[in-house]
Amino acid sequence: MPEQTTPTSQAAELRRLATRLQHLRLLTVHRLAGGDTWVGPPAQACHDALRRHAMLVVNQAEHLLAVARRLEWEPQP
Amino acid sequence: MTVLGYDPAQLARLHLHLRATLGELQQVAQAGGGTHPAAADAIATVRRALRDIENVWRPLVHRVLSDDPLRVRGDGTDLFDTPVIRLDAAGVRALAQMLGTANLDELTSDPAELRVLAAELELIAGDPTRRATFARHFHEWARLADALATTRMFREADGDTADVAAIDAVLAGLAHALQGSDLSDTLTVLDELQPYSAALVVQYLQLDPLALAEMADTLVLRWCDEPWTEDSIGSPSQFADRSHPSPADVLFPLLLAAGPEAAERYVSLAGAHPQSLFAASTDPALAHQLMLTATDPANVPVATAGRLLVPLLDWFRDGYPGVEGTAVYDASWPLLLADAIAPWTMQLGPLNHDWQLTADHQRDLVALLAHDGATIQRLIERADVVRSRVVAGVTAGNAAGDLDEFAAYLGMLTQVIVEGRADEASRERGWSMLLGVAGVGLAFVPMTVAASVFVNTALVGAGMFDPTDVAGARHDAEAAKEHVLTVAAASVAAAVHQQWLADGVLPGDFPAPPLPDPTAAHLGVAFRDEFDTWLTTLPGGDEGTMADHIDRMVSALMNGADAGAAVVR
Repeated sequence: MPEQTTPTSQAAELRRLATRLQHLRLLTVHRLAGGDTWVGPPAQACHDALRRHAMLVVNQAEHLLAVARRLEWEPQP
Repeated sequence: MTVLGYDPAQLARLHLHLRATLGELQQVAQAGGGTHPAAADAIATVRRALRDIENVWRPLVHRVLSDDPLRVRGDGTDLFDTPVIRLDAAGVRALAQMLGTANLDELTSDPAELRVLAAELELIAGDPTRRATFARHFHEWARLADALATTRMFREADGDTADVAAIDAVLAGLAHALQGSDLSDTLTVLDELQPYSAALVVQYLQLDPLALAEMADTLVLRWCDEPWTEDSIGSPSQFADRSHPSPADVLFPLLLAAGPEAAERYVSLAGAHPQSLFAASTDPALAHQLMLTATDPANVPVATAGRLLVPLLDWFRDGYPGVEGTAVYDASWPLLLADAIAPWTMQLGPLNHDWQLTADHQRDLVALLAHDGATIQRLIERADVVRSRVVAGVTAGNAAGDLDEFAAYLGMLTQVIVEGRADEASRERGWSMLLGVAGVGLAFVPMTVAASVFVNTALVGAGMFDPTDVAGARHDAEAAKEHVLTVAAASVAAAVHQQWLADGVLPGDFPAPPLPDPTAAHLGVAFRDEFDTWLTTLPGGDEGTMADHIDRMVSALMNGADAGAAVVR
């Protein structure tokens, strides 16, 4: 029988996912793709793309934490 | 066309990290995040990053690492046909060699290419080994820098700021690649460049103020002396009217930004060849600012100001060998002269020896000051500066000798201002200025603040500092001098009397010395008569020590003027 999902357990799942996202190597890998490594338009495009992905994931992690907080404050059934 | 430069070791590191990143992203994507819609959104974002890195960026990095671009670079392929370069030692060597033979017309006409080259040069400059390798294998500094400078000249004339920025970025890259080299090697490189090109590179070398000043002096002097050749930057007609690009226009703003030390050093060097200061920039205001910064009393002591200023004043005195009508002819030099000398007029006084000038030399410089109506007019406009510096000079010492010097100076200044060819309005202001300076004579009398206020009030109340009451003096130098010096003498006499009262040397009701009568036909003569009578009333009479003390001060002012005035004639 599947475990019943409650707001509290959902919040915990979201927090776990947020923590995983916040520790991804993706968040810093763009630093290795800067001008010390390579230069030129493709290099710049790579650096910018990696940074953009990092930003998006960071934003998602923050959103997950915000949703988790909201779930934890909701009245329990 | 070159589109990519890279450091193989760093790129290999990036490749490893991308692989590890992909592994992590795959794990997160497979694990999911639960049933909440927010988790689904987050996982979708992770998958997009995963796909992009997996399909685009890791393969690109892998391809660059797997290819052998160095082989492409080394087989004689043109710089601009090479899609990828390696920026390890071998790659740097290849780039240096290819730059040496590159078609510079193509390079300088392609801003995108220039931007990549600039980035490559910065990459080289950031590492001592790469920098040394580049310096060892690149021998065409002059060919490249001069080509860039020439194109820059045209682009700047067209107002094409984006192209100019791309060229400047390469010049900065070249400068940074040079930085850290042995100084003599750097100088050898710069010596091969046209002066303007060298200045464009020097501006990015981050030299200390003194080195910058010395480098600027060398380059500007070369510019001044160079004849047109086929390698020159600028056309023969530009050289004919000396409007070709000048290193002064590049370096003077830098010298000013570097502070007074740089300005002082540059002006000091320019003393031997003032054309490098006055006839090298298309913007005379820059040269003016340099000279004024270098000789500002806030920045230099009296002796240094003289060492800097006198050679420059001599240059103007000797006839200013600039070519009138050219782009660099500085027609506003009479104003500069006044601005520069305003803080230092006392040093031109006949009894002043701060600058160790001979009497003839001093006379010549005063004559230069008095030569042009515009100079005098400007000097009058700077009356506050003149007066405040005289105050500073006078309060530095109170010896009787200084009073003689002040009187001679006052006579000289009166003669210059009143005899100068200033217009009517300036004469009015000049008269105010002279009376203001005359009032400085009070500083020779040690007084309490209260006594000083009392004396000033008495003199002002008597109309002593009111220029409108003496119409004749505005037009007649002799009358003007007489008035100014009598006011100064009366000020000093009143001050001494006031101090004697304060010290109890004289009883509180002892009459004050006379004040000049502004309506008298001969102000000085009338004052002297009344003053001599007053001397007899002093304790000890007119032969006593008190009379001798105050008479010496008054006489110094009233007689000393003749010496000063004679200097101007």
